Amino acid sequence: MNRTRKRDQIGAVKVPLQVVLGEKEIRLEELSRIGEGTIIALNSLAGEPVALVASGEQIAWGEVIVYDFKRPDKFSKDQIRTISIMHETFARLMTTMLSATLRMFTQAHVTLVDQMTFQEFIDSIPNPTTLAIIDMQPLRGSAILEIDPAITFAVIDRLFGGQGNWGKFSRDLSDIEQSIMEGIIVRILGNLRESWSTVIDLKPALGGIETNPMFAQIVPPTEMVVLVTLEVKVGEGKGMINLCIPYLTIEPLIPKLSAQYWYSMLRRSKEERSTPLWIGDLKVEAELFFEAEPLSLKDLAHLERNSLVKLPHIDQAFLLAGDSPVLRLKQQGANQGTSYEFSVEPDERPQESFQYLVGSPEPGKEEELTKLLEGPINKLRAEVRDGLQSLSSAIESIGNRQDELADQLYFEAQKSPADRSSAAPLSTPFGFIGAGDIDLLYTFIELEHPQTIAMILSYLETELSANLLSGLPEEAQTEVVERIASMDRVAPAVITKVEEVIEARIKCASAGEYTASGSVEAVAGILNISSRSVEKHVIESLEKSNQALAEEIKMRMFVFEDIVLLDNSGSCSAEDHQCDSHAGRIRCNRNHPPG
Amino acid sequence: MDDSMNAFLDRSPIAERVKLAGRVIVQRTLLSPQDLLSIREKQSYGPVPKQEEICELEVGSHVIARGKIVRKRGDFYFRILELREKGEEV
Repeated sequence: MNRTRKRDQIGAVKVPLQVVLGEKEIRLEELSRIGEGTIIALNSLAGEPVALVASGEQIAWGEVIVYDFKRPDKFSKDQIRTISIMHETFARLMTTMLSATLRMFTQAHVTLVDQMTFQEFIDSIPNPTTLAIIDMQPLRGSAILEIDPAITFAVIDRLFGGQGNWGKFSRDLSDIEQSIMEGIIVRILGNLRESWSTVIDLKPALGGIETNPMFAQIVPPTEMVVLVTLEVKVGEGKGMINLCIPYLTIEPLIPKLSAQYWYSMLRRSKEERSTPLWIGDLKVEAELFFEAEPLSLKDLAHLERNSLVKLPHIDQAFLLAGDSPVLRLKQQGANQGTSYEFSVEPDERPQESFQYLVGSPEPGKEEELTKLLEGPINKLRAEVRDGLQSLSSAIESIGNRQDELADQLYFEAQKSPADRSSAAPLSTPFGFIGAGDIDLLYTFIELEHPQTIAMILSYLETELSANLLSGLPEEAQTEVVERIASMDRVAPAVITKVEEVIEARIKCASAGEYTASGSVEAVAGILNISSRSVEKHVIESLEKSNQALAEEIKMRMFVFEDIVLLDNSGSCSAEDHQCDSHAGRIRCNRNHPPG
Repeated sequence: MDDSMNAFLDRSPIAERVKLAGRVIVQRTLLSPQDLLSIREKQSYGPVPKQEEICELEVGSHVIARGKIVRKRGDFYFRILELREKGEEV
C-alpha cells in the first residue's frame, strides 16, 4: 500500500464527536428514580465553555451558539464582550474630550454592543442624522459613526456660545455646521484610535459626512455588522452615538477579540509602563584630551598641513564628561606606537569650576571641602529656586488661560502646517464682511441654527448686525436677540471655521456675478457671425419676451438699419463703428473705435 | 578669509597677543554613571586609544584640525594632517 493511498484510507475513518455540557456521577439508586421533571445538577455552570470530545479525548473548549442561516451570527459572545470592553475605554476618552471641548458636563457610556445586518442598522437610525463614513486604515473597508441630531445640535449650540440645548432640530446640516462637526468627529476618531491601540494601530480617517442613511451604503444590506451604541449626555440633554463596524472590516482582528488576549495585552502594556527608567542606562559624552600650547590668532591663521602644535604636558591628560572636567589622569609612559596608559590622579589645584568626582576627602579636610562646595551649592540652590518660581508662574498663567489654550490645541492640531501659516489672524472676526455683503450673508444664514446667527451677529459691526437682524423673520429676531444676550465664550478656532465657510461662499457668489456681466457682449458677438435667419428669429423673439434685452443686444450689433450709415468706401460713418465686408457678410462692433 | 582679515592676522599686534587654549582630543566615548563612579584614585584608567590613532585639535570649542601626536627631539607635538573645512561635521 503506497503512502498516499494509506493516508486517504485513514482520512476516511469516522471519529465520534461529542459536545459535553457537563458531567455527573450518580448512584444506581438515584438513576432508578429519574423521571420526567427531574433536575440533575451538572459539574459545570450555565454559560461556561463546553468541552469538545473526540473519541473520548477532550480536544477543545467552545461555546454553543444558535446559528440562523438567514442572519448568521459572526461574532461570539466573547468577541462581543471584548468589543464592549474596548469601547468602554472609547467612551471614557470621549467623555474627557467632549467635556474639555464644550466646557460643560458631558458623559458617554456604552449601552449596547450587538450584531445585526447592515439593513437593520440603517432602519434603526433617524433620518436625517449625522453619518460620518470612516476609512478604517489599515483595515480594509469602512465603518460608520452616527451621531443623532440631539447630540449634533447640542454640540453646535454649545460651540457657538449657547447653553448646549438640542432645540428639537431635525434637518440636514448647513455648510457651517458640517465644518464644525468635522472637527468634532476627527477628535472622536482620535479617541477611537487610542481605544483600539491594544489590538491594532488604527488610523481612522473621516471619508465624508452624509445626513441620509440611504446614501451611506458601505456594505450590502444583508452583511453582518457589530453595532456599538453609546449614550451621550451633553448638559441636560442626551442622545446616542452609534459606531457600526461591518464584519468584513473587522475580520482580520477576530483572533485578537478575546477577553484573554485583551487582558494579557493590557497587563503587558502596564508592565512596560511601570518599568522605571534605570538611571544607569543614561550615558554622557566624555572626552579625553591633552592640553596644547596656547595658540595666538596669528598662529591659527598660519596653520597648515604638517604644522606642529606643541603638547607641553604630555604626562597628564584630562577627562571631560558632559562638558564638565571630572578627572586628571597621569600618563604612565609616552612611547610612540603603544597604547596610552593613564592612572587617575587626585586634584592638586582645586578650583570652583573644576570639581572632581573621584576621591573622598582626607580626614580633617571635610571642613575645607564643605567650604569649597558651599559656593557652588548655594548658587545651584538659588538657580533651582528661581527656576521653580518661573515654572510656578508659567503654570499659573497656563491655568488661567486653560480653556482658551485647550480650544486652540484641539482645533489647531487638525490644521496642516500650511493652513496654520497661511491663516493670518484678522483683527476683528468677520472683518471681511462689508455693508455690500449683507444681502448675500442673509441668504447664507437665514436657515442656520439661531445660535449660529446669534454668534455671527455678536461679532459683526453693530450697524451690519442691525441690518441683518431686521431682515430676519420677526419670531427669529427675538430668539436671536435672547441668544446674543446670554452668549458664552466662543473658541477663536470655531469663529475661524465659520469665517472660512462664509468667506468661501461670498467669494464663490462674487465670482458668479463677474461671469454674468458681459453676457450681452457675448450674445452680440455670437449673433453677428450667425446666419441672418437665426439672428432675426432670436431678436424678434426677444423683442416679444424681453424688449430691454433685445434693445441692448441690438445696440451692440450691426443691424440692417445701420446700412444707411455706411459711406461709399464701406466704412462706418458713425465714429464708434468699425465695419468690414468679408465674404458677403457685414460685421460691426460699435464698442471699438475705427483702427 | 577676506583681505582685511588677512591683513589683521599678519600685521596686527593683537593677533599675536590674543591666544586661545587648545586641546588635543585623543578619545571620545560614552560613559555611564557607573563607569564614572567606578573610577578610583591611583587606579589605571581605560580603555584608551593607541598613540598613532587620529586625534582632533580643538580651539575655542571648535575642532579645527585632525592629526597625530608625534615625538620630535624629546618633545611631543600634534602634527596636522588635515585642516577642517568650514561647516564640516565632526
